[in-house]
Amino acid sequence: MSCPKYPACTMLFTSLILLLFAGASGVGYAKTGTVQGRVSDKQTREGLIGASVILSPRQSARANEYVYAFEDVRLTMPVLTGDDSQAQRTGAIALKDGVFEIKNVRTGDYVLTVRSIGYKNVIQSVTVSADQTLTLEIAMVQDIQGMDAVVVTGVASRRQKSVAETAIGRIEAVAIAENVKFSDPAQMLIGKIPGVSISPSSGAVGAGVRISVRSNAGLLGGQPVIFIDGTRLLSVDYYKVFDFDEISPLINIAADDVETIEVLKGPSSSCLYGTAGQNGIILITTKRGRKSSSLQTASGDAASELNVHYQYSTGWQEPSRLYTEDMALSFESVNRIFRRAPLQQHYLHLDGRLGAMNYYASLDYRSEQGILPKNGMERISGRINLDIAAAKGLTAKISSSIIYNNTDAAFTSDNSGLFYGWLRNTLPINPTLNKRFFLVDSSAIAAIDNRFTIDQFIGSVELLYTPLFLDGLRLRALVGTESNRSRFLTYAPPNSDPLAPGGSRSVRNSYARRFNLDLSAAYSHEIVEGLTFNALIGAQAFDNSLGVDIASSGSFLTPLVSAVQSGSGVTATEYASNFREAGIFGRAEINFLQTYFLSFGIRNDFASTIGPKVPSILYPQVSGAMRLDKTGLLPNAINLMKVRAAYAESGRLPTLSQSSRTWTLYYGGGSSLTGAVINQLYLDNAGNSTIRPERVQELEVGVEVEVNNVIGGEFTYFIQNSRDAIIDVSTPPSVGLGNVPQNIGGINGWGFESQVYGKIISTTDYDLQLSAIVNYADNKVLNIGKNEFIPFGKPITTNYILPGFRRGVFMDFMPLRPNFLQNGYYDWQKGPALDTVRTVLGSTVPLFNGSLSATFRFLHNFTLYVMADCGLGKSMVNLTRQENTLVGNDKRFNQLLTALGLAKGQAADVGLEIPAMSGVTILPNNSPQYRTAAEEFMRLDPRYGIVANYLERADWVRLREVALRWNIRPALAALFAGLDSAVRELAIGISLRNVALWTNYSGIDTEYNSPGNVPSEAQAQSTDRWVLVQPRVIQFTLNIGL
Amino acid sequence: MLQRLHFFPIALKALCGFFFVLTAWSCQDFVQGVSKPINTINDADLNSEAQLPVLFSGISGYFGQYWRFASMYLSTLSDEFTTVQGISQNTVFPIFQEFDKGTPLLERTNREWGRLGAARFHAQDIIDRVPNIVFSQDSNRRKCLFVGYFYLALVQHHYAAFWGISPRKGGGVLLGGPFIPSPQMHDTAVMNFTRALEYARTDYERRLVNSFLARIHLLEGRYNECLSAAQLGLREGDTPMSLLYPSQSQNIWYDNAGVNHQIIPAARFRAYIDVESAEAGRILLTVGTNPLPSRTTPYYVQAKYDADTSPIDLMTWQENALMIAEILVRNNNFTAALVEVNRVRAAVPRVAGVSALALRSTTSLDSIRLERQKQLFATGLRILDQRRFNDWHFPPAQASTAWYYLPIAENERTANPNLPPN
Repeated sequence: MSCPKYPACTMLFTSLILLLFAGASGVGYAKTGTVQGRVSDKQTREGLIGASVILSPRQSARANEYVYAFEDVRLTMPVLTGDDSQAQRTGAIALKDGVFEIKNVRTGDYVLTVRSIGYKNVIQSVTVSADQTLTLEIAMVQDIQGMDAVVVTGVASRRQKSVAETAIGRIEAVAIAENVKFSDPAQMLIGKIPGVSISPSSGAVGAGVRISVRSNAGLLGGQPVIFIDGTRLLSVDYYKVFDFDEISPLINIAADDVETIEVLKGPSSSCLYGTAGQNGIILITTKRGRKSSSLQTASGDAASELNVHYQYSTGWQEPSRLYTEDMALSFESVNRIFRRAPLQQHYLHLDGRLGAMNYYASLDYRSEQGILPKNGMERISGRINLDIAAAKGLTAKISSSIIYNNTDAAFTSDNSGLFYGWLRNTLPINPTLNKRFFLVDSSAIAAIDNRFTIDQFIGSVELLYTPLFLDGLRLRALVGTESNRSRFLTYAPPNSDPLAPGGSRSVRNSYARRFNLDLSAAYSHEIVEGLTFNALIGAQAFDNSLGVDIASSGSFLTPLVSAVQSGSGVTATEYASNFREAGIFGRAEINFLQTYFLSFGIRNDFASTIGPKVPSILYPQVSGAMRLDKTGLLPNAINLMKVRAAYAESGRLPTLSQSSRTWTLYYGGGSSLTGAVINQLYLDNAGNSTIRPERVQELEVGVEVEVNNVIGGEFTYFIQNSRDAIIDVSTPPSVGLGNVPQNIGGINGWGFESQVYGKIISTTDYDLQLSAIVNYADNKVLNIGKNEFIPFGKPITTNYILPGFRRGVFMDFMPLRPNFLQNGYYDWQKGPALDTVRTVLGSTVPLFNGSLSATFRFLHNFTLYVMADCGLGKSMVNLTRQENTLVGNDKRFNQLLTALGLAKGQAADVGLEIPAMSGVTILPNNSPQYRTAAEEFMRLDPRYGIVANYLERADWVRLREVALRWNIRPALAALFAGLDSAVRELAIGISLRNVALWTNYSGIDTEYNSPGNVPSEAQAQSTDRWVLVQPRVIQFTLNIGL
Repeated sequence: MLQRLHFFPIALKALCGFFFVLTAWSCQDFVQGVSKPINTINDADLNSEAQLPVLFSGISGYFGQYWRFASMYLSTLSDEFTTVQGISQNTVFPIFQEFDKGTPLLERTNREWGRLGAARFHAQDIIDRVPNIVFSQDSNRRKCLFVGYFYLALVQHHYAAFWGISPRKGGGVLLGGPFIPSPQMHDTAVMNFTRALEYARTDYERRLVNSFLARIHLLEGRYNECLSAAQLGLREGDTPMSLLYPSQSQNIWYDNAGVNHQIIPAARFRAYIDVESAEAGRILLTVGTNPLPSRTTPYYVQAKYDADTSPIDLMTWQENALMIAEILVRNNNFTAALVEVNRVRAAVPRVAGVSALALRSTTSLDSIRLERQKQLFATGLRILDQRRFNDWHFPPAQASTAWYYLPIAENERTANPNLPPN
């Protein structure tokens, strides 16, 4: 039964069937009682406002455990009491001073579950008797690491982290953002989750990011896929035009809207997401009506119908480091380019309840200027999230946001910026040497416009249906969509572009429409006492459409007009693409005595292709966990010890055209023999009809321990193995096929991720919480077929995939010894003798990374937060220095040049036009000292062994975040009567990011991964060519909650 | 309650089965329901008679893109064009200087080598498609095979004539195989030109093929075969076989050796005009305009390609005539040779205000060599004569190491296991 013209509607039809699968419920009347009490912090005895108190009928509690965890939203939704005479699920939210009351509870045996964010769940049995009031005093223990928080454990499945079978990363964004101000969610992730590292592509506003999870699974690595409220985003940077820095896809997400970010780190947990989950999944959940930060921090009535929260922040950015003389002789000129750039943000959100609907609405305006001139962003976004209890058992969750963003992209002159860029153009003008770089005056650069504007809609509708007649069954359907229209404008007026003196203009308009559909059905059943079986089946579909139009021209007669058609040589280009992915999955979970957990899953994936053969692949998953602390074998002090293991597979399906040969037309020519043509047939893809999907396997084992609810840690070891990697292999050009995709690659990855945490001090007025994360990830390429190596990255300093080494290593011909002229002087013309084989040098990705953070609450109302992160085992190619050397802008090179008598006007002037430095001792040629200096000089020779000579270790420690927050409401409430009831929150704070950097790298910054988060094939680049230093961001914030 | 417990498993199984069957089936449909790419052609869709012009465009386009740069490199490698410090502009990378010195890096020819390989692939692809195409007319089938074999042979001829594995060892590579020296490669080219002759539909096509055969025999020193083929080759009045360039895919001579002066003709070409002003009809030069104020001596740049759409001739009746003349001279038939030489000279376009180019009264091997230099100016062919007559211009320091061919590209040497390492 299907619609032939619209295959997707078959799945919709299926979902309809699922949603209609409901039956009648019994009708009757029952006797009732009341449950009331108070929820408080066990240590401080303070009441916990907002705690949810749920009563579940005893007979169905375990069977529904999975369902309720899955259906987290219902916990605070209005409870729809039916007419059933049996005990029924009901609940309430703790109000002022933690007091709660649940009336009209049908008599019977219940399981009481009390949850409050930041606290361990309390679960106990209660019996409600007719016309009686049961009073409970519930003391909750702080959950310092969120072990009892419900986390996403896979596609369409959730459970408490304390019983999850895989390592799930989760950050409570609300709590983090309470202290530190962020521009977007990517910044939030830095240093927070074991196994996840974030690298910005530059220090520019809006710069792209590279997200690395574990060892990046497949041979070519890759990026995790990002979902926001169930809507799938593309995780690649927006298109880069010429000299722009990349634009991150996450800059449009207001960090203040984010409630949690969860990371599924690899196939073990993301297997059922299918191919998309190969490199992990990032799930961003925005705030809902019931979960606003104000709800947690207020002391007023948490059930009020309307909460208002306003935040104002203002501050500035400045370079976190400055150039020094050792970096460039022209350091003062470069430093003068930087600016103290203002930023400000207004953020307003409302949340509350209207009848059966919880709502959250926000407006966010952020204006942020970069430390380089003409770099900045102005973002306006609006969000409305609704949770609607539509009918008995039916909940609708609607998430929507509209964003307008106007970014002036930075001109940093990075790897792709050959001729422009603010920083490079500060090189000292040497007519002979600088001619090759086509340097221009800064005023000319200032005249160039690089503007990226985007309008974006992100939204999803999710229906959750729990038939009341059928305990344990839950149906879910979600439709997500993201659409955007963007415009990238590059305009260089006449006389600003040395290569196009008449000016140039390029306009790139694009649209993207993405659509994803998730359907699932879950059933939970208690087979025998203590043994629960959960089953899940589902399907996912994803459709991605993209269209791009580019028009460009140049040579404008006058700067008075700048439209493309006013220039000459107008060209237009159009691209359009559409691809789809789909998959079905099933999963079975067994839970025995809340102590032993075992799961099996399977997914079958399909993807679009040109040609008749649809690529598909089957991925299995198996995982298990055991709570040793519940076996009675451990001391009581160990409140949690869980061991877990998981194995799963994921992979990479062939792309649209990898399995078949395709052609295209492009500019060409012709001949008198075959006729004059303008368009020529090109072989677009050689294709390979025998191509198979790449398969990635992952095994992880881990342990989580917590002692006395105060100190704990987790450790996970993982192994990732990729085989049949699809690689475009270059055939000998004489074959004429170009690159041919082949299943030739294999790579092993391994590593560990660990975290220890503890609440060292915990009193009414003082808290000190510490956390340390250490990650290690390595990999080794196993084979790449008959290829010696595969270039990986941009050609200027190519990285390589090389058997026996890490993915993306550098290698080069090493300078062995200097050559000397007969008179003993350094032979500049001949240069150094180079090795005949390449030497493998460093890698671009840190072996180790980690962070150390401390949150210190003092004097009850002050909170100091400090976080430092680090990376060890990374290398950078310092092309900035190489380029400086070429033009006489490097101090050490000039000293050696002078000492060796090679400078301008000296005995062995080599014609570099670099004057001799004063105060440098000129070494006698043929002397041992001369030869020693020549050895060093050889290793600075900017013409040979560029990678060999300029590759440096780039380990770093960065003081990333420092924040101080003062909750001034209590102080003011003491002064002003009535403020206590009118104002729920009043706090001020100062937040600093990128405070200080310590590194053994001689350049200005180590965190640079051009081209950022672009598709995986080019992600390994780690070359510093006038990299823009990370900005130090200082922001002052004012929070008001009403 | 009991009824429910029995009902659930049955319902669940039915539901699961229903769900999986439907979704697995619909997933495949769904992923294949994508919009057709607007800039991609399925390979099988080209197996159509209506698409022959498209298939032909691939061959000629690639060959044209190859030759526009390769001919410049060859002219620079030879003594025909040169780089001059202070004149050559916008030389970010010293590519032309390297060719001028006879020491190009292997990577310099990656692009041209790749395009020549692509042209060969397209030629073979057309031949391979013929059985899969339904032809309404046999002449279309013949044209398909003619174009395929012609270009296949042309590519192989170029491998043999212009490329080398080492500075002095000419030849090429086919399909990632071992190095094939020039003579054997030329044998393959002759075989394919002969096949092309079988499918030629017009006398012009046959004459064109014979002219190329004549050139191959000439280069291989098979003078009698050369004469035989040339006598069946292009005749006076035949249009040259030219490569055509739209403005979107420029004849790069115009930009690199015209608007910009990365290479300029050797000074002797201006001297030829000084001696005989009517030579300006075929040695097209114009005064260079490098703006450096220090320059006082005028210099000249080529004006043969005066637009970015100027065609480049691959074979002309004049070259064919001069091949005949050379063999006749070698056979001591000077009178007949003179007729051919003067036929070429008489056809030189007349320069306004200047008398027509004077006809020769005598001829010799040397004068024919000179005639070829002038007639084949800026076509990339000069190096063939330098090699044939061992007439080199490199200074003593480079004489032993200079390339007499375009080096087989680094990309081939890296990717082809049948070639010796660099």
